Amino acid sequence: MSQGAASSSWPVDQGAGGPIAALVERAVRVLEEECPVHSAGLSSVLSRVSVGIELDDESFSMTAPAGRTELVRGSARGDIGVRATGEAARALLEGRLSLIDAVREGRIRIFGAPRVLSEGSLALRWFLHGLVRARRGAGLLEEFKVLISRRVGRAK
Amino acid sequence: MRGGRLLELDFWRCALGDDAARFKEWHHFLIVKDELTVLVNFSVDVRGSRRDAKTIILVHRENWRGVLVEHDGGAQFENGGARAKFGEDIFEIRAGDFRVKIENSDCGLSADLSLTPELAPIVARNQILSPGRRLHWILFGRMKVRGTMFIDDISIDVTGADAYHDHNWGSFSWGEDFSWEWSTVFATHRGEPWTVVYSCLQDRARSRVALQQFFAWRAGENIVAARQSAIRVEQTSGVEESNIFRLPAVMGLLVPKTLRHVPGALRIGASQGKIELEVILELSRPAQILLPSEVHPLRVTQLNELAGRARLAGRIGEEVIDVAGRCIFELAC
Repeated sequence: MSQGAASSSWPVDQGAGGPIAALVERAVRVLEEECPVHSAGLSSVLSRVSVGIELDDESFSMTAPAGRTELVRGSARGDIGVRATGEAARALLEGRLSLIDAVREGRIRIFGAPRVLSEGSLALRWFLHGLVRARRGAGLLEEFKVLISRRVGRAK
Repeated sequence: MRGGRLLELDFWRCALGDDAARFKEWHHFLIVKDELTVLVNFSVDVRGSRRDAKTIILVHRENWRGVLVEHDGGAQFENGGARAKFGEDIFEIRAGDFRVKIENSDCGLSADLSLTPELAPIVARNQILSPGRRLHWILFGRMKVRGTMFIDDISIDVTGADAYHDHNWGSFSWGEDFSWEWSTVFATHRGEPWTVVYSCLQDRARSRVALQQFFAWRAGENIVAARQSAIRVEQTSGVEESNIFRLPAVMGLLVPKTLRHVPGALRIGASQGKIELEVILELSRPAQILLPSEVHPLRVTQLNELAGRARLAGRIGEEVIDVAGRCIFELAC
């Protein structure tokens, strides 16, 4: 990834919901500022279906009740549920693991009615396509990898 | 080449400082020694006052490895564009050769190389890329290398290796209605170097050919310069789809896993007068450089880079040619 990429200048919110949720929220705001088309695409999907995420010991949900993507921390309730370890998410982002293999091996679990699962896939595409186009996107992805590495290191 | 002519021909167009609405330019190098292939690409993407500079490095021995580096400070041009700094990496156009200096710990590669053209350049201006879009290029089909490369701290003397260079520039966006195939082949027959360069510009669906060219050189002499009707191409197999190396890795989540469109083997032939030549390429799994489409929010442009073995076969009048070599193939779609 990028050498010398500038991290976001926003301080990491260590409040309720944890650093992963804070990072995702910053990513959503970066999309609003730098990639409005992708931000609108993400909000459009999340206004129809909500996504609840459990990543390591953090829980949060993503929804867009008023047309703007919001994170609700401390709760993983949603039309679609995603359960994963941070390490599995990092392996996905580093290309070491495909989504299909992650689900097949049980490293990522996805719940939801079939009719909403395709919406979840579309939300992920809007989010990632926006992040790879945003100037601050590479820095945020790098922060996520560092965050997970530190957690894995502490756990050993 | 006559001293000074390299810079006169191959200078960075973006170093002139003209703020075009949208303009892309890259200098591309390949170094091939035995089973080792190294690709180095310096690129600048101009969007108004914004200039994004990247270095891409790919190394292939048994597998691909590499990095895509985005330089936050852009590229620094000195001496009217004769010297360009991309972070710690340097590309210089000197009196009679090019200098490529790479220092990248992420992919374990460092090198400081001199590359001297052995063939006269081919210059193409205003080639139709897609409706309303033009691409220009200069290519040096074969160059000789001097220097040492370090891969994972192991030194590899690449003096005498074969190299290729092209320089492309134009105003276009990734994801517009174009694709291309390109290949270069290095071989040696009875002590004589043979070089083949093949290119094909098509629409995005790969159903309509805009330009197709096949060049061959024997020693320093260009012996074939064929176009469209004199060229035939046959894809004879697909590529294995597992463990594809992708840059940036995260964009692997955004592309389909199928690689049906990527060749595993190809035959490319051309005829000109008494000359019949064919290159048979046996290609590795690709490395994919993935670029966000600039015309569709949910699409990706793929640059598939494949290294492999080549066989150059044919006849020049009564003389039979049959020689093994190395090749690189690129598919952009």
